[in-house]
Amino acid sequence: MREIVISNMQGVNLEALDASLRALPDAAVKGISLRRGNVIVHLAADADDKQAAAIRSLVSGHDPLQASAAQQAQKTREAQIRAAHDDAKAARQAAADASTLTEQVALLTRRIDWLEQLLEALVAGEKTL
Amino acid sequence: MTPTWHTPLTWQVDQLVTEADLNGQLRDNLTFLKDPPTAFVRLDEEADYATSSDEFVDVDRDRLALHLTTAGGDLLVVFFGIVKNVYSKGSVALDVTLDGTRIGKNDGLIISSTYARDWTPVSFMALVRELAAGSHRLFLQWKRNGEIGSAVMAAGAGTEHYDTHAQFWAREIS
Repeated sequence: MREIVISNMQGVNLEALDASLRALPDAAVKGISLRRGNVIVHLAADADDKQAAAIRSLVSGHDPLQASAAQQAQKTREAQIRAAHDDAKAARQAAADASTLTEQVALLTRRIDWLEQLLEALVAGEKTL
Repeated sequence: MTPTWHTPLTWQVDQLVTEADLNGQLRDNLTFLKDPPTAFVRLDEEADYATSSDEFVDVDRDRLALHLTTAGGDLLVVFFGIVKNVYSKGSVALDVTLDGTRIGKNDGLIISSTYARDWTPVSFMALVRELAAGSHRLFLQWKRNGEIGSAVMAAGAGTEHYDTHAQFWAREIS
């Protein structure tokens, strides 16, 4: 395996940088490591100098505040779960005051919706108990 | 410095025991047994280690590297520390290369718990049988285990509540 070492990098968003490097055409990136302030990019042994130059260029322009697509999706999902949780909490209080069965079922559905979203996030590995 | 190991002699009746015999067979061999070839690393770094590699790579080829010269026999290789995968369905696999070849083969010597995204202790004791006498180099390797996520290893870098100093060492034991 070939390695490219970029020294003295500060504030690396490892997941986002990894995703960007793997998205490069024919980059053959196997991953990146952080060691004592250095970024090490692991490449297939047959990676050529042109690929290495493209990688160096991408790493030097890395913005750690820029979220990866997966990180952005996770943030969105977390916001949705928080909103569903708040809604479910309100529904719980309202269910006690509901006068009809139809009304109670509608409120319970909102609670189930929150639990469903939470369960999906757990299964996807985005959240832990 | 560990002295050279001398293959034990078979003593004969009326054999003259010389100074060299005693120094070699008793002094040197006892000293060897008391202080066998050992290489030891205890992490005390400025930052924890991390990798997103899905193939085995060196954790730190400069720091987590062992070099020792053995007399020939079995070698005990030990590691303990704490690791985590930032993705809760992922885990961390560890292995060691000995003179360029991974001793764990396949998915490595050990894989951390996949439970949660929290720190988890990992340790292994690997026995390398009948290693030839000579100079040997060992490097700790790791990879993330799972399709996404990244592996992190605490390196005594001051991480709050998790400031542990992993140890990696090898000792000739026979």
